[in-house]
Amino acid sequence: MSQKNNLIKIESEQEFREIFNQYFNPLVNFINQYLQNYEDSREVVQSTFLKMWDKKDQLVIQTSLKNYLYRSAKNNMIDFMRKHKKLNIISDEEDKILNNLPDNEESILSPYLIRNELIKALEQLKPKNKEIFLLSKFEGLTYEEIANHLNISKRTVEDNVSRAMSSLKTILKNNPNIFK
Amino acid sequence: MMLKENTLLRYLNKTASQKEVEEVENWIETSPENRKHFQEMLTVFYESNHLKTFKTYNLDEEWNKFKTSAKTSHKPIENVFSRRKIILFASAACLTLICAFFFLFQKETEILRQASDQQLVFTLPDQTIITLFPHSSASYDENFNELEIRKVVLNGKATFDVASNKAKPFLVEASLVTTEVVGTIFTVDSYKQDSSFVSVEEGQVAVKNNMEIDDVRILNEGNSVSFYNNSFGEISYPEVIVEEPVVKATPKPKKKKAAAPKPVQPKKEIITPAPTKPQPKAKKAEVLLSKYPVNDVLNFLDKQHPENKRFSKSKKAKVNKEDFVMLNLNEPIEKIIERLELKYNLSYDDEKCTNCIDLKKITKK
Repeated sequence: MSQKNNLIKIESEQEFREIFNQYFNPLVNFINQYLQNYEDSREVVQSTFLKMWDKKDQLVIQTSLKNYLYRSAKNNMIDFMRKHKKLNIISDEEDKILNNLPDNEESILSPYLIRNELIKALEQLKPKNKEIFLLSKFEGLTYEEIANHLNISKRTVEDNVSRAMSSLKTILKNNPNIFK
Repeated sequence: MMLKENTLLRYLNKTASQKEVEEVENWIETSPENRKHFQEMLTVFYESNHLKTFKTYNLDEEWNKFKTSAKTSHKPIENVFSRRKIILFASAACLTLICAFFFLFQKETEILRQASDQQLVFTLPDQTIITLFPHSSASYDENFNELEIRKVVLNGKATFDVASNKAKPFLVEASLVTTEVVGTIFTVDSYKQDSSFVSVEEGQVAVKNNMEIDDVRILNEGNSVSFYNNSFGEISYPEVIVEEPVVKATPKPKKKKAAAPKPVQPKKEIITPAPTKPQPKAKKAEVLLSKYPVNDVLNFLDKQHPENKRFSKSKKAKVNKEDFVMLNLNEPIEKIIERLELKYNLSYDDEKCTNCIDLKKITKK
Protein backbone atom coordinates (compact mmCIF):
# COMPACT_ATOMS: atom_id res chain seq x y z
CA MET A 1 0.00 0.00 0.00
CA SER A 2 1.54 3.26 -1.10
CA GLN A 3 0.84 6.66 0.32
CA LYS A 4 1.61 9.86 -1.58
CA ASN A 5 0.35 13.30 -0.70
CA ASN A 6 -2.18 11.73 1.67
CA LEU A 7 -3.47 9.50 -1.15
CA ILE A 8 -3.59 5.77 -0.45
CA LYS A 9 -3.40 3.20 -3.22
CA ILE A 10 -3.68 -0.55 -2.74
CA GLU A 11 -1.08 -2.20 -4.90
CA SER A 12 -1.34 -5.92 -4.19
CA GLU A 13 -3.67 -8.64 -3.03
CA GLN A 14 -1.51 -9.12 0.04
CA GLU A 15 -2.08 -5.52 1.01
CA PHE A 16 -5.77 -5.98 0.47
CA ARG A 17 -5.75 -9.12 2.62
CA GLU A 18 -4.09 -7.21 5.46
CA ILE A 19 -6.77 -4.56 5.32
CA PHE A 20 -9.40 -7.28 5.25
CA ASN A 21 -7.95 -8.98 8.32
CA GLN A 22 -7.67 -5.75 10.24
CA TYR A 23 -11.12 -4.38 9.52
CA PHE A 24 -13.45 -7.29 8.82
CA ASN A 25 -14.47 -8.15 12.38
CA PRO A 26 -14.57 -4.56 13.67
CA LEU A 27 -16.82 -3.60 10.78
CA VAL A 28 -19.12 -6.60 11.31
CA ASN A 29 -19.55 -5.67 14.98
CA PHE A 30 -20.04 -2.02 14.12
CA ILE A 31 -22.75 -2.81 11.57
CA ASN A 32 -24.36 -5.26 13.95
CA GLN A 33 -25.03 -2.41 16.34
CA TYR A 34 -27.65 -1.29 13.81
CA LEU A 35 -28.77 -4.45 12.07
CA GLN A 36 -28.78 -6.58 15.22
CA ASN A 37 -28.04 -9.59 13.06
CA TYR A 38 -24.51 -10.88 12.68
CA GLU A 39 -25.12 -12.78 9.45
CA ASP A 40 -26.62 -9.72 7.79
CA SER A 41 -23.79 -7.62 9.14
CA ARG A 42 -21.26 -10.10 7.78
CA GLU A 43 -22.99 -9.91 4.36
CA VAL A 44 -22.83 -6.12 4.38
CA VAL A 45 -19.12 -6.16 5.18
CA GLN A 46 -18.39 -8.81 2.56
CA SER A 47 -20.22 -6.60 0.06
CA THR A 48 -18.19 -3.59 1.21
CA PHE A 49 -14.94 -5.40 0.55
CA LEU A 50 -16.19 -6.77 -2.77
CA LYS A 51 -16.93 -3.27 -4.00
CA MET A 52 -13.54 -2.13 -2.79
CA TRP A 53 -11.94 -5.10 -4.55
CA ASP A 54 -13.75 -4.29 -7.79
CA LYS A 55 -12.21 -0.87 -7.98
CA LYS A 56 -8.97 -1.56 -6.21
CA ASP A 57 -6.97 -0.74 -9.34
CA GLN A 58 -8.51 2.68 -9.64
CA LEU A 59 -9.05 3.21 -5.94
CA VAL A 60 -7.23 6.15 -4.45
CA ILE A 61 -8.27 6.91 -0.88
CA GLN A 62 -8.04 10.56 -0.12
CA THR A 63 -8.89 10.36 3.57
CA SER A 64 -7.79 7.67 6.01
CA LEU A 65 -8.36 4.02 5.21
CA LYS A 66 -10.38 3.72 8.40
CA ASN A 67 -12.60 6.59 7.36
CA TYR A 68 -13.05 5.19 3.86
CA LEU A 69 -14.10 1.77 5.16
CA TYR A 70 -16.38 3.29 7.74
CA ARG A 71 -18.20 5.39 5.14
CA SER A 72 -18.34 2.57 2.65
CA ALA A 73 -19.71 0.10 5.21
CA LYS A 74 -22.24 2.65 6.42
CA ASN A 75 -23.52 3.25 2.89
CA ASN A 76 -23.70 -0.46 2.18
CA MET A 77 -25.66 -0.93 5.37
CA ILE A 78 -28.18 1.72 4.29
CA ASP A 79 -28.49 0.02 0.90
CA PHE A 80 -28.97 -3.31 2.63
CA MET A 81 -31.66 -1.84 4.87
CA ARG A 82 -33.51 -0.42 1.88
CA LYS A 83 -33.20 -3.63 -0.04
CA HIS A 84 -34.29 -5.95 2.72
CA LYS A 85 -36.49 -3.56 4.67
CA LYS A 86 -34.61 -4.41 7.83
CA LEU A 87 -35.85 -2.94 11.08
CA ASN A 88 -38.88 -1.60 9.20
CA ILE A 89 -36.64 1.05 7.82
CA ILE A 90 -38.41 3.95 6.31
CA SER A 91 -36.86 7.09 5.02
CA ASP A 92 -37.15 8.98 8.32
CA GLU A 93 -35.44 6.20 10.16
CA GLU A 94 -32.77 6.02 7.53
CA ASP A 95 -32.19 9.71 7.96
CA LYS A 96 -32.08 9.24 11.68
CA ILE A 97 -29.47 6.54 11.38
CA LEU A 98 -27.45 8.61 8.96
CA ASN A 99 -27.70 11.63 11.21
CA ASN A 100 -26.69 9.64 14.25
CA LEU A 101 -23.69 8.22 12.52
CA PRO A 102 -20.84 10.66 12.81
CA ASP A 103 -18.92 11.61 9.72
CA ASN A 104 -15.65 11.07 11.52
CA GLU A 105 -14.86 7.43 12.05
CA GLU A 106 -12.61 8.03 15.05
CA SER A 107 -15.39 8.29 17.57
CA ILE A 108 -17.32 5.28 16.37
CA LEU A 109 -15.06 2.75 14.70
CA SER A 110 -12.06 2.97 16.99
CA PRO A 111 -13.64 1.04 19.89
CA TYR A 112 -14.34 -1.87 17.53
CA LEU A 113 -10.79 -1.78 16.29
CA ILE A 114 -9.50 -1.77 19.89
CA ARG A 115 -11.72 -4.69 20.85
CA ASN A 116 -10.51 -6.55 17.82
CA GLU A 117 -6.92 -5.94 18.80
CA LEU A 118 -7.66 -6.97 22.37
CA ILE A 119 -9.04 -10.29 21.16
CA LYS A 120 -5.91 -10.86 19.12
CA ALA A 121 -3.70 -9.74 21.99
CA LEU A 122 -5.26 -12.27 24.37
CA GLU A 123 -3.33 -14.98 22.54
CA GLN A 124 -0.12 -13.43 23.76
CA LEU A 125 -1.05 -13.58 27.45
CA LYS A 126 0.28 -16.16 29.81
CA PRO A 127 -2.17 -19.07 30.05
CA LYS A 128 -3.11 -18.46 33.67
CA ASN A 129 -3.57 -14.74 33.07
CA LYS A 130 -5.61 -15.43 29.99
CA GLU A 131 -7.83 -18.02 31.68
CA ILE A 132 -8.67 -15.79 34.61
CA PHE A 133 -9.08 -12.73 32.33
CA LEU A 134 -11.53 -14.65 30.09
CA LEU A 135 -13.53 -15.88 33.09
CA SER A 136 -13.82 -12.33 34.27
CA LYS A 137 -14.51 -10.51 30.98
CA PHE A 138 -16.19 -13.13 28.85
CA GLU A 139 -17.96 -15.26 31.42
CA GLY A 140 -18.81 -12.29 33.62
CA LEU A 141 -17.74 -14.06 36.85
CA THR A 142 -16.84 -12.01 39.90
CA TYR A 143 -13.33 -12.33 41.35
CA GLU A 144 -14.76 -14.32 44.22
CA GLU A 145 -16.55 -16.73 41.85
CA ILE A 146 -13.35 -17.18 39.86
CA ALA A 147 -11.44 -17.79 43.10
CA ASN A 148 -13.90 -20.44 44.17
CA HIS A 149 -14.01 -21.96 40.69
CA LEU A 150 -10.20 -22.21 40.43
CA ASN A 151 -9.75 -22.81 44.12
CA ILE A 152 -7.41 -19.87 44.51
CA SER A 153 -7.54 -16.72 46.57
CA LYS A 154 -9.40 -13.63 45.48
CA ARG A 155 -6.14 -11.71 45.67
CA THR A 156 -4.55 -14.12 43.18
CA VAL A 157 -7.44 -13.56 40.78
CA GLU A 158 -6.98 -9.82 41.11
CA ASP A 159 -3.29 -10.07 40.47
CA ASN A 160 -3.82 -12.14 37.33
CA VAL A 161 -6.41 -9.77 35.94
CA SER A 162 -4.13 -6.81 36.67
CA ARG A 163 -1.22 -8.47 34.94
CA ALA A 164 -3.39 -9.39 31.96
CA MET A 165 -4.58 -5.81 31.57
CA SER A 166 -1.11 -4.44 31.89
CA SER A 167 0.14 -6.89 29.25
CA LEU A 168 -2.72 -6.05 26.90
CA LYS A 169 -2.02 -2.35 27.28
CA THR A 170 1.62 -2.94 26.42
CA ILE A 171 0.70 -5.02 23.37
CA LEU A 172 -1.77 -2.41 22.15
CA LYS A 173 0.70 0.37 22.80
CA ASN A 174 2.88 -1.15 20.09
CA ASN A 175 -0.04 -0.96 17.64
CA PRO A 176 0.13 2.41 15.87
CA ASN A 177 -3.59 2.28 15.12
CA ILE A 178 -4.68 2.05 18.78
CA PHE A 179 -2.64 4.22 21.09
CA LYS A 180 -1.01 7.14 19.33
CA MET B 1 6.06 7.12 42.90
CA MET B 2 4.98 3.67 41.83
CA LEU B 3 1.38 2.48 41.87
CA LYS B 4 0.46 -1.13 42.36
CA GLU B 5 -1.47 -2.56 39.37
CA ASN B 6 -3.97 -4.11 41.81
CA THR B 7 -4.74 -0.71 43.32
CA LEU B 8 -5.40 0.76 39.87
CA LEU B 9 -7.60 -2.23 39.00
CA ARG B 10 -9.63 -1.80 42.20
CA TYR B 11 -9.91 1.92 41.36
CA LEU B 12 -11.28 1.02 37.90
CA ASN B 13 -13.54 -1.65 39.39
CA LYS B 14 -14.74 0.92 41.93
CA THR B 15 -13.80 -1.42 44.76
CA ALA B 16 -10.90 0.68 45.99
CA SER B 17 -10.90 2.14 49.48
CA GLN B 18 -11.01 5.90 49.99
CA LYS B 19 -7.30 5.86 50.73
CA GLU B 20 -6.58 3.92 47.52
CA VAL B 21 -8.74 6.35 45.51
CA GLU B 22 -6.76 9.31 46.81
CA GLU B 23 -3.55 7.46 46.13
CA VAL B 24 -4.50 6.78 42.49
CA GLU B 25 -5.74 10.29 41.83
CA ASN B 26 -2.60 11.76 43.28
CA TRP B 27 -0.55 9.43 41.18
CA ILE B 28 -2.40 10.51 37.97
CA GLU B 29 -1.70 14.16 38.75
CA THR B 30 1.97 13.53 39.40
CA SER B 31 3.09 13.36 35.74
CA PRO B 32 1.72 13.37 32.15
CA GLU B 33 3.17 9.89 31.71
CA ASN B 34 1.10 8.65 34.66
CA ARG B 35 -2.00 10.28 33.18
CA LYS B 36 -1.30 8.67 29.82
CA HIS B 37 -0.72 5.32 31.43
CA PHE B 38 -4.00 5.68 33.30
CA GLN B 39 -5.88 6.62 30.11
CA GLU B 40 -4.52 3.56 28.32
CA MET B 41 -5.39 1.26 31.20
CA LEU B 42 -8.84 2.80 31.33
CA THR B 43 -9.30 2.09 27.61
CA VAL B 44 -8.20 -1.53 27.99
CA PHE B 45 -10.40 -1.95 31.05
CA TYR B 46 -13.46 -0.37 29.40
CA GLU B 47 -13.12 -2.08 26.02
CA SER B 48 -12.34 -5.43 27.58
CA ASN B 49 -15.70 -5.24 29.31
CA HIS B 50 -17.30 -5.29 25.80
CA LEU B 51 -15.37 -8.27 24.55
CA LYS B 52 -18.16 -10.55 25.64
CA THR B 53 -20.38 -9.13 22.89
CA PHE B 54 -17.64 -8.82 20.29
CA LYS B 55 -18.13 -11.54 17.71
CA THR B 56 -15.17 -12.65 15.68
CA TYR B 57 -15.28 -14.57 12.45
CA ASN B 58 -12.51 -16.79 11.25
CA LEU B 59 -10.66 -14.50 8.90
CA ASP B 60 -9.25 -17.25 6.71
CA GLU B 61 -12.74 -18.59 6.10
CA GLU B 62 -14.10 -15.12 5.46
CA TRP B 63 -11.25 -14.33 3.09
CA ASN B 64 -11.93 -17.54 1.14
CA LYS B 65 -15.62 -16.65 0.93
CA PHE B 66 -14.67 -13.21 -0.20
CA LYS B 67 -12.31 -14.51 -2.85
CA THR B 68 -14.92 -16.95 -4.09
CA SER B 69 -17.47 -14.17 -4.34
CA ALA B 70 -14.99 -11.90 -6.08
CA LYS B 71 -14.22 -14.59 -8.66
CA THR B 72 -17.66 -16.09 -9.20
CA SER B 73 -20.53 -13.98 -8.05
CA HIS B 74 -18.99 -10.81 -9.36
CA LYS B 75 -18.41 -12.12 -12.86
CA PRO B 76 -22.06 -13.02 -13.21
CA ILE B 77 -22.92 -9.51 -12.12
CA GLU B 78 -20.94 -8.27 -15.09
CA ASN B 79 -22.55 -10.92 -17.26
CA VAL B 80 -25.99 -9.93 -16.06
CA PHE B 81 -25.12 -6.35 -16.86
CA SER B 82 -23.96 -7.39 -20.30
CA ARG B 83 -27.10 -9.45 -20.75
CA ARG B 84 -29.16 -6.47 -19.70
CA LYS B 85 -27.28 -4.36 -22.21
CA ILE B 86 -27.94 -6.93 -24.91
CA ILE B 87 -31.62 -7.09 -23.96
CA LEU B 88 -31.79 -3.30 -24.02
CA PHE B 89 -30.15 -3.13 -27.42
CA ALA B 90 -32.37 -5.92 -28.71
CA SER B 91 -35.46 -4.18 -27.37
CA ALA B 92 -34.42 -0.92 -28.96
CA ALA B 93 -33.77 -2.68 -32.26
CA CYS B 94 -37.14 -4.46 -32.10
CA LEU B 95 -38.88 -1.20 -31.32
CA THR B 96 -37.19 0.48 -34.25
CA LEU B 97 -38.18 -2.39 -36.53
CA ILE B 98 -41.75 -2.33 -35.28
CA CYS B 99 -41.91 1.43 -35.85
CA ALA B 100 -40.42 1.02 -39.31
CA PHE B 101 -42.90 -1.73 -40.15
CA PHE B 102 -45.68 0.36 -38.71
CA PHE B 103 -44.85 3.30 -40.93
CA LEU B 104 -44.33 1.08 -43.95
CA PHE B 105 -47.57 -0.65 -43.18
CA GLN B 106 -49.21 2.72 -42.81
CA LYS B 107 -48.21 3.49 -46.37
CA GLU B 108 -49.40 0.14 -47.57
CA THR B 109 -52.78 0.57 -45.92
CA GLU B 110 -53.61 3.05 -48.64
CA ILE B 111 -55.88 1.43 -51.16
CA LEU B 112 -55.25 2.30 -54.77
CA ARG B 113 -57.90 1.81 -57.43
CA GLN B 114 -56.93 2.23 -61.06
CA ALA B 115 -59.02 2.33 -64.17
CA SER B 116 -57.44 0.94 -67.30
CA ASP B 117 -59.01 1.54 -70.70
CA GLN B 118 -62.49 1.40 -69.23
CA GLN B 119 -64.26 3.20 -66.49
CA LEU B 120 -64.14 1.72 -63.06
CA VAL B 121 -66.99 2.13 -60.64
CA PHE B 122 -66.39 1.26 -57.03
CA THR B 123 -67.87 2.04 -53.67
CA LEU B 124 -65.94 3.45 -50.75
CA PRO B 125 -66.52 2.11 -47.24
CA ASP B 126 -68.85 5.04 -46.52
CA GLN B 127 -70.98 4.10 -49.55
CA THR B 128 -69.66 6.95 -51.67
CA ILE B 129 -69.65 5.83 -55.29
CA ILE B 130 -66.64 6.76 -57.34
CA THR B 131 -66.55 6.42 -61.08
CA LEU B 132 -63.01 6.48 -62.31
CA PHE B 133 -62.56 7.47 -65.88
CA PRO B 134 -60.11 5.56 -68.07
CA HIS B 135 -56.48 5.77 -67.04
CA SER B 136 -57.37 7.46 -63.78
CA SER B 137 -56.57 6.34 -60.28
CA ALA B 138 -57.84 7.09 -56.80
CA SER B 139 -56.35 6.16 -53.47
CA TYR B 140 -57.78 6.25 -49.98
CA ASP B 141 -56.91 5.01 -46.52
CA GLU B 142 -57.85 1.50 -45.59
CA ASN B 143 -59.39 2.88 -42.41
CA PHE B 144 -61.36 5.37 -44.44
CA ASN B 145 -64.47 5.20 -42.27
CA GLU B 146 -62.55 5.67 -39.04
CA LEU B 147 -60.85 8.90 -40.08
CA GLU B 148 -62.28 12.29 -39.25
CA ILE B 149 -61.87 13.47 -42.80
CA ARG B 150 -62.74 11.28 -45.76
CA LYS B 151 -60.00 11.88 -48.24
CA VAL B 152 -59.43 10.53 -51.71
CA VAL B 153 -56.37 11.37 -53.76
CA LEU B 154 -57.27 11.54 -57.41
CA ASN B 155 -55.04 11.26 -60.41
CA GLY B 156 -57.06 11.78 -63.57
CA LYS B 157 -60.81 12.15 -63.70
CA ALA B 158 -63.61 10.80 -61.56
CA THR B 159 -67.20 11.43 -60.61
CA PHE B 160 -68.06 11.24 -56.95
CA ASP B 161 -71.50 10.45 -55.61
CA VAL B 162 -70.67 11.27 -52.04
CA ALA B 163 -72.56 9.67 -49.19
CA SER B 164 -73.84 12.45 -47.01
CA ASN B 165 -72.11 12.80 -43.67
CA LYS B 166 -71.87 16.32 -42.34
CA ALA B 167 -69.63 15.23 -39.50
CA LYS B 168 -67.01 13.97 -41.91
CA PRO B 169 -66.04 16.24 -44.76
CA PHE B 170 -65.14 14.56 -47.99
CA LEU B 171 -61.98 15.76 -49.71
CA VAL B 172 -60.82 15.01 -53.21
CA GLU B 173 -57.22 15.97 -53.59
CA ALA B 174 -56.08 16.40 -57.17
CA SER B 175 -52.74 17.72 -58.32
CA LEU B 176 -53.88 21.35 -58.53
CA VAL B 177 -57.09 21.62 -56.57
CA THR B 178 -58.73 20.05 -53.57
CA THR B 179 -62.49 19.71 -53.54
CA GLU B 180 -64.29 19.55 -50.24
CA VAL B 181 -67.86 18.36 -49.97
CA VAL B 182 -70.38 17.02 -47.53
CA GLY B 183 -72.70 15.02 -49.70
CA THR B 184 -73.10 15.58 -53.37
CA ILE B 185 -72.41 14.37 -56.86
CA PHE B 186 -69.61 16.02 -58.68
CA THR B 187 -66.84 15.39 -61.16
CA VAL B 188 -63.22 16.27 -60.85
CA ASP B 189 -61.24 16.24 -64.05
CA SER B 190 -57.53 16.47 -63.51
CA TYR B 191 -56.41 14.58 -66.55
CA LYS B 192 -54.28 17.43 -67.70
CA GLN B 193 -51.17 18.34 -65.82
CA ASP B 194 -51.80 22.06 -65.95
CA SER B 195 -55.56 22.26 -65.52
CA SER B 196 -58.49 20.84 -63.58
CA PHE B 197 -62.21 20.98 -63.99
CA VAL B 198 -64.83 20.48 -61.30
CA SER B 199 -68.54 20.30 -61.95
CA VAL B 200 -71.27 19.77 -59.38
CA GLU B 201 -74.36 17.79 -60.12
CA GLU B 202 -75.91 17.89 -56.69
CA GLY B 203 -75.12 19.62 -53.44
CA GLN B 204 -72.30 22.02 -52.77
CA VAL B 205 -68.56 21.78 -52.90
CA ALA B 206 -65.62 23.99 -52.06
CA VAL B 207 -62.76 23.87 -54.54
CA LYS B 208 -59.44 24.95 -53.15
CA ASN B 209 -56.29 25.96 -54.93
CA ASN B 210 -53.62 23.60 -53.63
CA MET B 211 -51.03 26.34 -53.92
CA GLU B 212 -52.99 29.02 -52.10
CA ILE B 213 -55.07 27.99 -49.12
CA ASP B 214 -57.31 31.07 -49.24
CA ASP B 215 -58.10 30.68 -52.91
CA VAL B 216 -61.43 28.88 -52.73
CA ARG B 217 -64.44 28.63 -55.01
CA ILE B 218 -67.83 27.49 -53.75
CA LEU B 219 -69.77 25.55 -56.31
CA ASN B 220 -73.47 24.86 -56.00
CA GLU B 221 -75.59 22.43 -57.85
CA GLY B 222 -74.97 22.79 -61.55
CA ASN B 223 -71.91 24.98 -61.13
CA SER B 224 -68.59 24.16 -62.63
CA VAL B 225 -65.21 25.79 -62.60
CA SER B 226 -61.99 25.29 -64.41
CA PHE B 227 -58.55 25.76 -62.96
CA TYR B 228 -55.78 26.75 -65.30
CA ASN B 229 -52.49 28.55 -65.07
CA ASN B 230 -52.63 28.42 -61.28
CA SER B 231 -55.91 30.28 -61.08
CA PHE B 232 -59.62 29.59 -61.23
CA GLY B 233 -61.67 30.50 -64.24
CA GLU B 234 -65.17 31.93 -64.14
CA ILE B 235 -67.71 29.79 -62.39
CA SER B 236 -70.18 28.46 -64.87
CA TYR B 237 -73.77 28.83 -63.65
CA PRO B 238 -76.68 26.90 -65.06
CA GLU B 239 -79.02 28.98 -67.08
CA VAL B 240 -82.63 29.00 -66.19
CA ILE B 241 -85.71 27.80 -67.96
CA VAL B 242 -88.30 30.47 -67.62
CA GLU B 243 -91.26 28.81 -69.08
CA GLU B 244 -93.78 29.15 -66.32
CA PRO B 245 -93.53 31.08 -63.11
CA VAL B 246 -95.15 28.31 -61.14
CA VAL B 247 -93.04 25.31 -60.58
CA LYS B 248 -95.39 22.44 -60.50
CA ALA B 249 -94.31 19.90 -62.95
CA THR B 250 -96.38 16.83 -63.57
CA PRO B 251 -94.80 13.82 -61.92
CA LYS B 252 -94.78 12.04 -65.20
CA PRO B 253 -94.42 14.14 -68.25
CA LYS B 254 -96.72 13.30 -71.08
CA LYS B 255 -95.13 11.08 -73.58
CA LYS B 256 -94.80 12.65 -76.92
CA LYS B 257 -94.24 11.00 -80.19
CA ALA B 258 -90.74 9.98 -80.91
CA ALA B 259 -90.33 12.69 -83.45
CA ALA B 260 -91.64 15.30 -81.13
CA PRO B 261 -89.13 17.92 -80.14
CA LYS B 262 -89.92 17.58 -76.45
CA PRO B 263 -89.96 13.94 -75.55
CA VAL B 264 -88.65 14.67 -72.10
CA GLN B 265 -90.51 17.17 -70.00
CA PRO B 266 -87.98 19.03 -67.93
CA LYS B 267 -88.94 19.65 -64.37
CA LYS B 268 -89.51 23.33 -64.33
CA GLU B 269 -87.55 24.06 -61.28
CA ILE B 270 -85.41 27.10 -61.04
CA ILE B 271 -82.02 26.25 -59.72
CA THR B 272 -80.19 29.48 -59.46
CA PRO B 273 -80.75 32.29 -59.19
CA ALA B 274 -84.24 32.72 -57.73
CA PRO B 275 -87.08 31.96 -60.12
CA THR B 276 -88.93 35.17 -59.56
CA LYS B 277 -86.14 37.21 -61.02
CA PRO B 278 -84.75 35.44 -63.99
CA GLN B 279 -81.42 36.58 -65.23
CA PRO B 280 -81.34 38.44 -68.45
CA LYS B 281 -79.41 35.63 -69.99
CA ALA B 282 -82.23 33.26 -69.19
CA LYS B 283 -84.56 35.19 -71.42
CA LYS B 284 -82.77 33.66 -74.32
CA ALA B 285 -84.48 30.43 -73.31
CA GLU B 286 -81.22 28.67 -73.76
CA VAL B 287 -81.39 25.86 -71.30
CA LEU B 288 -77.99 24.81 -70.11
CA LEU B 289 -78.71 22.66 -67.08
CA SER B 290 -81.89 21.42 -65.64
CA LYS B 291 -83.49 18.47 -63.99
CA TYR B 292 -85.13 15.86 -66.13
CA PRO B 293 -86.99 12.75 -64.96
CA VAL B 294 -84.40 10.11 -65.53
CA ASN B 295 -86.87 7.52 -66.68
CA ASP B 296 -88.15 9.81 -69.41
CA VAL B 297 -84.66 10.59 -70.56
CA LEU B 298 -83.80 6.92 -70.83
CA ASN B 299 -87.03 6.10 -72.65
CA PHE B 300 -86.47 8.97 -75.00
CA LEU B 301 -83.01 7.77 -75.83
CA ASP B 302 -84.32 4.27 -76.39
CA LYS B 303 -87.10 5.43 -78.62
CA GLN B 304 -84.82 7.68 -80.57
CA HIS B 305 -82.66 4.73 -81.36
CA PRO B 306 -84.74 1.59 -81.20
CA GLU B 307 -82.09 -0.31 -83.10
CA ASN B 308 -79.52 0.53 -80.47
CA LYS B 309 -81.37 -0.17 -77.27
CA ARG B 310 -78.31 -0.91 -75.32
CA PHE B 311 -79.40 0.25 -71.93
CA SER B 312 -79.69 -2.90 -69.96
CA LYS B 313 -83.30 -3.57 -69.08
CA SER B 314 -82.42 -5.13 -65.79
CA LYS B 315 -80.32 -2.17 -64.84
CA LYS B 316 -82.89 0.25 -66.09
CA ALA B 317 -85.39 -1.43 -63.85
CA LYS B 318 -83.26 -0.54 -60.87
CA VAL B 319 -83.32 3.14 -61.70
CA ASN B 320 -85.63 5.06 -59.44
CA LYS B 321 -88.40 6.29 -61.70
CA GLU B 322 -88.91 9.29 -59.48
CA ASP B 323 -85.29 10.29 -59.81
CA PHE B 324 -84.10 13.26 -61.76
CA VAL B 325 -80.94 13.81 -63.66
CA MET B 326 -79.15 17.08 -64.20
CA LEU B 327 -78.46 17.68 -67.85
CA ASN B 328 -76.36 20.42 -69.26
CA LEU B 329 -77.68 20.63 -72.77
CA ASN B 330 -74.66 22.57 -73.91
CA GLU B 331 -72.52 19.60 -73.17
CA PRO B 332 -71.77 17.16 -75.95
CA ILE B 333 -74.34 14.40 -76.10
CA GLU B 334 -71.70 11.81 -75.25
CA LYS B 335 -71.07 13.60 -71.99
CA ILE B 336 -74.73 13.41 -71.11
CA ILE B 337 -74.87 9.74 -71.90
CA GLU B 338 -71.65 9.29 -69.98
CA ARG B 339 -73.21 10.90 -66.97
CA LEU B 340 -76.20 8.63 -67.15
CA GLU B 341 -73.95 5.64 -67.48
CA LEU B 342 -71.91 6.69 -64.53
CA LYS B 343 -74.74 7.57 -62.26
CA TYR B 344 -76.85 4.49 -62.91
CA ASN B 345 -74.11 2.13 -63.91
CA LEU B 346 -75.73 1.69 -67.30
CA SER B 347 -74.02 0.83 -70.50
CA TYR B 348 -74.85 2.61 -73.70
CA ASP B 349 -73.04 2.67 -76.93
CA ASP B 350 -73.35 6.23 -77.99
CA GLU B 351 -71.40 6.13 -81.18
CA LYS B 352 -74.45 6.03 -83.38
CA CYS B 353 -76.41 8.34 -81.16
CA THR B 354 -74.07 11.23 -81.06
CA ASN B 355 -75.40 12.73 -84.26
CA CYS B 356 -79.01 11.87 -83.86
CA ILE B 357 -79.90 13.04 -80.40
CA ASP B 358 -80.26 16.68 -79.92
CA LEU B 359 -81.49 17.31 -76.46
CA LYS B 360 -81.45 20.98 -77.08
CA LYS B 361 -84.43 20.42 -79.26
CA ILE B 362 -86.23 18.86 -76.37
CA THR B 363 -86.48 22.06 -74.51
CA LYS B 364 -86.94 24.33 -77.42
CA LYS B 365 -90.49 25.22 -78.15
